[in-house]
Parts: sequence; structure tokens; C-alpha cells
Amino acid sequence: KREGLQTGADGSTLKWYNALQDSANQCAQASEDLSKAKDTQMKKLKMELQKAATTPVSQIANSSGSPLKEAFEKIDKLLSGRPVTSAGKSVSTSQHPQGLEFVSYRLAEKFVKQGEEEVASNHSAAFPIAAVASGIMEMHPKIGDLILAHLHKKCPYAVPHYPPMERGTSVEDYQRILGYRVDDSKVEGQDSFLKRMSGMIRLYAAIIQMRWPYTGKQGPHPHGLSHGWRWLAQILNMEPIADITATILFDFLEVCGNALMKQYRGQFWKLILLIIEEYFPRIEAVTSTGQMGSVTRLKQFLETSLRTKQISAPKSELGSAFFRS
Amino acid sequence: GVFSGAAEAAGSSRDSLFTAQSDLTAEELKEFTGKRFTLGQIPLKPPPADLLMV
Amino acid sequence: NANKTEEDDKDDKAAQSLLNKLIRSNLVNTTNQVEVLQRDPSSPLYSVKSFEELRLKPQLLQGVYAMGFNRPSKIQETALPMMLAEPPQNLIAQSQSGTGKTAAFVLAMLSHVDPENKWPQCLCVSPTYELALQTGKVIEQMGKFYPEVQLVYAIRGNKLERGTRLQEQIVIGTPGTVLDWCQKLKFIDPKKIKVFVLDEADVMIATQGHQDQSIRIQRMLPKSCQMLLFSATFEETVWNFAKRIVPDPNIIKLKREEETLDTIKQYYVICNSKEEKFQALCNIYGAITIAQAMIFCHTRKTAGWLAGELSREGHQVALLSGEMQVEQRAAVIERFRDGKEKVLVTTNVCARGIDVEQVSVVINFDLPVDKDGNPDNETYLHRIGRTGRFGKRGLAINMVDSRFSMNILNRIQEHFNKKIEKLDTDDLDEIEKIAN
Ligand SMILES: Nc1ncnc2c1ncn2[C@@H]1O[C@H](COP(=O)(O)OP(=O)(O)O)[C@@H](O)[C@H]1O
Repeated sequence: KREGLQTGADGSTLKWYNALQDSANQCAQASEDLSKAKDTQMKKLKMELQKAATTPVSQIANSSGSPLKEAFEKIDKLLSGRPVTSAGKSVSTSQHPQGLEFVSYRLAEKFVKQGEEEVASNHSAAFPIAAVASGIMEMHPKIGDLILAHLHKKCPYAVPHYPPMERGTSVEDYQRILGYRVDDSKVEGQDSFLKRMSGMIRLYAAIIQMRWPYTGKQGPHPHGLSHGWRWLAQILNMEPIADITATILFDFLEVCGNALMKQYRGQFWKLILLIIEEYFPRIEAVTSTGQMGSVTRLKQFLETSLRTKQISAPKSELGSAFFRS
Repeated sequence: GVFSGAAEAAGSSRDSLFTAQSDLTAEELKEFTGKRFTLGQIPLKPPPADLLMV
Repeated sequence: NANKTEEDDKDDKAAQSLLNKLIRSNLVNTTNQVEVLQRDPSSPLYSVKSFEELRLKPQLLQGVYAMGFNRPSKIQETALPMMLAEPPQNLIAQSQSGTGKTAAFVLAMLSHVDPENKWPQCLCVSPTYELALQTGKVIEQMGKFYPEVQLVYAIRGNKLERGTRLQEQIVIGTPGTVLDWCQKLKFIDPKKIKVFVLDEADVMIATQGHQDQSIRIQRMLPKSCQMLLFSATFEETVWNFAKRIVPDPNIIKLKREEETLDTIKQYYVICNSKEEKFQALCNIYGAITIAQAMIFCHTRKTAGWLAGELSREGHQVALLSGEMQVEQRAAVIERFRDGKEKVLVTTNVCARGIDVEQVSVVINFDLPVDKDGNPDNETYLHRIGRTGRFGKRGLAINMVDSRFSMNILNRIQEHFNKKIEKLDTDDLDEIEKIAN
């Protein structure tokens, strides 16, 4: 029987992670005729399909419910094989045998990129993106797996997984695996890296608690709060990593701590207690001066939670009034 | 098909918010019934619905 | 260039400064070194690499971290130890906006306050009501865990009853009202002020009367009061003013980071009409991830048309146009920064001075030309240039629709001696490449 904290994720977590990667790779391969097309006609079609899939995602904004609904409907229509119009041109996935695979892959990738680019600098952007994403995941479960696969590839901490350095991997490649941007053999700064990772963790935390309010479906969430439990339990079972663990734990709890508390009540508070009493000191032990920012934010959050016996709802969460607007 | 339902394939219960007690190992159940979790032993499966008050 | 000065006058400094504060969500990158001129060159020079080293009150350290800060900015590394030293030292600090000056002096004010004493101890003057409000917000955020410390705005419109004695420890306002409150109305006892901050000195002196009022306030303060003055630029006039406000100063300067095109990828797209430009834009949107974009048009008419077309496609578009009042522009910019709109379409006149560094993609729907039809290189650089060599990378796309504009593009390219690559927006693979 294993004792104490582990250095890596549980076997079942890694198996799930690998299965998601495999299925995403299969999807990429199964749409290669289209994605690697050389023929002009085919390239045109590919462009139109991609535009139809990704443009609505880039239009998701914080302003009100109805544009979100429009974006969702455009995507849903496309994935259902019906023709959609984008910039005056009509296109549908039925125009190519690989149309649906291609669109699915690109769409999932786009959700994650939008989170990476946007949520990093504007935390409140996580909610509208997550709302649409969770609606799409509900209607089209396969897209859900692809979104997760892309998210994991860009941010292994969303699994959560701390990839170990394998023999034969160059430092540069390893940095990439860890999620750093590396170009011309220059690796991005720690602050910028952490900001992007925060953005993606926040997107994930928003996805698992958001429900798309318009589908009228009553079924379970396609990737709901049970994954919030799983994520948190998995993180806390592993040795913390300097800078990263404190940062993502805080991001995650700030966004979906409230929802988890409501769902898992006493068991959730047991987690918080464990963090405060045993896990937090481990985080402090791996933190050096100059990295105190994220640790202090986490501590503040935990202390407030324990004192008030409450976890406040995230700022800028979208309420029902938003979706009526 | 292309999508084999990766989540199910890997055995993660896809949508249930709670775990039935019968689906837990003895150790996992002990973690959920105890006052505290043991460091490093938190079950990855969500808690059973009838064990939310501790 | 006569044209330019006219525009500069119209777009006054205070408005520019406000809009920049509103659009900014990040520190500006700097690679330059801080220059320090100490009043007493024999005393050791401290600079800190972490907030811990400053031995702040725990409530303030928490406030700083809760704002998302991790470590002091360049200017803060040197300025904070001087401002927090015992006995307090006077300081004149100059660095471009966005480098962390406001956060620094707010921390200094909060540190020097004695919360037990229920009277004004820190006085901060700003050029306008809106700017004072922005600083006030920073005080509130940073002081979040220090609720005993209270703040009051000395601004026109905040009318207090005669005979009031303020209990708040920090007063922030515009020079005229602050002067009245100290002198005529006696809401504040200036002899009890421990810290005096004059923010945005360069903007301050651009307004008639502010300079004089500031000096009159300063004259009422005790000798022991710490005097701090901040400015983004430092012309002779600012300097002369600064020396009258701050006796025996330490001086800190951080050279402005030059805007460069080094970290920018520049492209151009050939189109035959504005409709084609619009199509090219749609293609770009479909191919790469644009968190937020700013699009520049030559005329208000084109800007309006383009905003309409983009909205029809389902984009959330904000239009910033010349006839708007400052408050309206501020509202548009705030919504854009909050992500309520993702695309900002604008003409150059009204976007002059706006710091686009926060935006990852800049599109010149029309190339910038001056009134004689020559390339406006300065504007081009300002629109798309970035500061800080290891800062955020950016992307700039220029739309070319005639032989005339091709010629402008070529001349811009020659001027900066940086290649602007051609982009075929009908080819998805090509557009995708530019984002990597
Ligand atoms: N040490 C820091 N770390 C991270 N961000 C900071 C730091 N200091 C200031 N900022 C942020 O940078 C931006 C610019 O800071 P500000 O103090 O307003 O600069 P200035 O007064 O020079 O214009 C603000 O968004 C502020 O919150």
C-alpha cells in the first residue's frame, strides 16, 4: 500500500489522460485528408469549415446572454451537419467525408486557445467561454473529450499531471511538455507562464460547474463537479511543486470552490482542513522568497474560508439575469 | 468510431456526482467515514451521497 | 507638424492619461536600468527584490499580494525602500506610465498612516477628478485588509458642512479643492500631514492654475512632511516645478522604453476594396486566436461601416470615435478591457495616446498617412510598436488596397528597415503559420 504523498498522478488518472490523447490523435489522423489538403478547392472548403467552427468561439463575450446563444447555435448547427453561413458563404460538414472530424478537432482546440489567450489576462472571460463549452459538451459529448485532450496538452496541470523528465528528452522539449512557450530556444518568463496556466485552470474550473441554461436537458453534466473532486483529490495526493501548485490550487478553488462546497459539504471541508493542516505547510516548504505571492493568496483564501465557514461564489459568475439578457 | 469515449474507456464514471458505497474499496470507504483524510490517500472517486455530513 | 499639435491640444494630457490607466491591466515591461541620484550619496542604497524585505505591516503585504502582485516592479525596487525609510526621505520619481508608480506611493501612504489617529495624515493631489478616483481605487484595493484606514475625496462636488473636521487618514483630490479644504474651509489641518504626494506632475502643470495651487498647498505643510512627486515625463518645466515642491529630493529616473518593432510580426494583405478587406479580416479571425483586436481606420465613416459589418457577422464590436466625450470614450475602453467587446474599431485621431500594448493584434484597415498623404511613421510605430524586448509578442496586419497605399507601405518598411511580409488571407495554412 502506498504511503504519504506521491510524486506523480494515479494510474487511473494517467490512463484516462492517455486515452484522451489517443482519441484526439485519432481524430487528427482521421481528418488528415482535409487538414493537410493541397488541392485549391479542398483548401477553400477547409478554410470555410474552420471559419464556421472557430469564429463563433472568438465572438464569445461578457456582454449579455443573447450573443452567447447565437454563438452556441452556430456551433451546434455546424456540428449537427446543417449548413451555416459565415461571412456570406454557406458551408456544411457534409461537404466532405472528414468534415465533421476536422471541425470537431479545430473547434475543441479553439476553445482551449481562447481560454489560454483571454482568461489569462481577464479572469471573468472564463465564464462565458465555459458556458458555451459546457453546452456543446452536453449536446456533442465527443467534443468534450477533445476539449479536455487539448487542454491537457497545453496545460498538464489541468489533468492534473506533473510530467516527469524522461530520458532522452531535451530540456527544450521538456519545457514545452511542462507548458512553457519556447521559441528560438528562449523560454518564456515564469510570470507569463503562470498567467497562462492560471487562465486554463480557471477555464477548466468554470467548465465543470457551468450548465448551459438553454438546452432544456435535465441530465447530468457531461463533465461536472465529480471531476472537480477528482482534480482536487489528485492534486492533494501529490507532492507540491514550487510556484505551480499554490497558483493553480488557488485559481481552482476561487472559481469552483463554492460549487464544490455546496455539493460535497462535510467531505469538502475535510479537504480544506487537510490543506490547511498538512498540505499547506508542504507547499511552504518548497517555496522560496520571491515566490510568496501565490502562497499568500492561497493562505488568505483558506483562512477566510475557514473563518467564515463559507467559500464565496466567484466574482463575475454569470447569473440567471445574464442569460435572460 | 473515431471517438471511443475515452473517459468511459478509462473507467472514470462519467457523470455521476456521487459514488455508491458499494463501488468503494474498504480503504476508500474508511477515508470517507473518518473525521480526516489521510495525506496522500484521498479517494479520487467522489464521496457517497449519504456520507456528506461528517 | 502643425496638424499634430492641434490634435494634441484637443486630446488633452489628462484624458490620455486616464484612458491609458483604464485600458491597462498589466505592468509595462522595462529593460532599462533605474538611475538614482541620492540626496546623501554616502548613505547606502537599498533596493529590494521581494515585498517581504520591506517589512510591511502584514495587512498591507496581504493587500499587495491579493492584487496579484508577485514582486516589486523595477521602479518599486528602488523607490519603495526610500519612501519607507526612517526618517522619511523626499523623492522625485519619473518613469513612463504603467511602471508601478501609483502602487508604490499608495503603499507608502498606507504604511505611514497611524490608524489610531482620526485625522488626515496623507494628502495626494491628482490633476483631475477621474484620475483621483483611479488612485482611490488602488488605495481601497491595497488597503482591503486594513479597514481602519479611511479615505476621502477632496473634489468639487463633494460638499461638506462648514466646520467639519475630517476623520479620514487619507485625502485624495484635485489641487483647487484640496487647497480650499486646507485653507478656507479648514476641514484639514495641514500641519498634521505626514506624507504629501503630487501625482502626474507633467499633466498637472498643463492645467492653468494647478501649479500655483499645488505650491500653495505645499507651503502649508510642516517641514517634517515627506514630499513625493511623480511624473511620466520630465521636461525642463516639470523639473522646475518638481524642485519647488520637493526640497532636498532623492531622484529616481527610469528611461522610457523605446517602442520597437522587434517583437512584432508585421504583414500586409492585398485587397481591392473595403469589402475585400472585410473578407480578409473574417478569414484572419477564423484562422488565428485573437483575444482582443484593435482596428484602425482612416475615417469615421469607414470605422462606422466596418463596425456595422463586423456586428452583422456576430462580433462584439466597440466603436471609438472622434466626437465622443472623454467620459464616453472611457466607458468604451472600460467595456473593451473587461471583455464585453472583443474588437475595438477606431480612427487614429481619437486613439492617439492609447496604449495598445494590452492588445495582441493590431490591424491597420487603412495605413496611417499625414495630411499631405505621406506615411505617418510615428503613428505607425505607436500603433503597433511594443516596449520591452522580451515582452509580449504582437501581430500587426496592414491592409493595402491601392498602388498608393502599397507605396506608403513600402516607405514605412524602408523607414523602419524591417520587412513587412506579404500574407495571402485565402490560404488558411499561411495565416495559421503567423500565429506560431
Ligand atoms: N509589483 C507589481 N507587480 C505586478 N503588477 C503591478 C505591480 N505594480 C503595479 N502593477 C500593476 O501594473 C499596472 C500599472 O501600475 P501603476 O501603479 O498604475 O503604474 P503607473 O502609476 O506608473 O502608471 C497596474 O495594473 C498595477 O496594478
